[in-house]
Amino acid sequence: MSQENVARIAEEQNKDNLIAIWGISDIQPLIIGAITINKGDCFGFSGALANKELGLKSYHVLEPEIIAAIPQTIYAQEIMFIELSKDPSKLQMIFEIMRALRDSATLDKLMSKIENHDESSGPLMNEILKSVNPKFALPK
Amino acid sequence: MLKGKKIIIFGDGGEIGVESLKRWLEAADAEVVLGRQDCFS
Repeated sequence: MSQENVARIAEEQNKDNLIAIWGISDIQPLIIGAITINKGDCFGFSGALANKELGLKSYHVLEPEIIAAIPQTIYAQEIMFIELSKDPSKLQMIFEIMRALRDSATLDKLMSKIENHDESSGPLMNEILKSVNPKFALPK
Repeated sequence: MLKGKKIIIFGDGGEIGVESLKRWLEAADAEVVLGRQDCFS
């Protein structure tokens, strides 16, 4: 159902003017979601986005370019304290991941990793993270 | 960069939920066309 709604909206709208913005700060669902609405569901949820490339770009709401577009009064009253409560290193990691997932060449490389993933080389999500930045790994 | 954009939002079910995201982004002259309180996983 959820994937169906996203697919329907993407088909109804001009994709050049349509983006996704995420509030989620958990790395794994963020990556899965951002890849799914761009390249299709390649993680086996068998939803409406399986093998369906919508090409939608994703941003996290706390990324600087999004924050810069929100009126300063709202930022100061509602967002700043949320931002300050987050681990700065995790936020930087999220921003780097989101930038990578918006870059077509990087995303194509990630898709190759996903399609050719061998479980013996470790969890897929860590493979994806290391492709973005060799220093990245999921928290244990 | 948000002015006139159509946006699908995914809230975290907590402090950055759909209602907050919608309010913030609409204040930036964007149009929220779909809001979900979770992800696909």
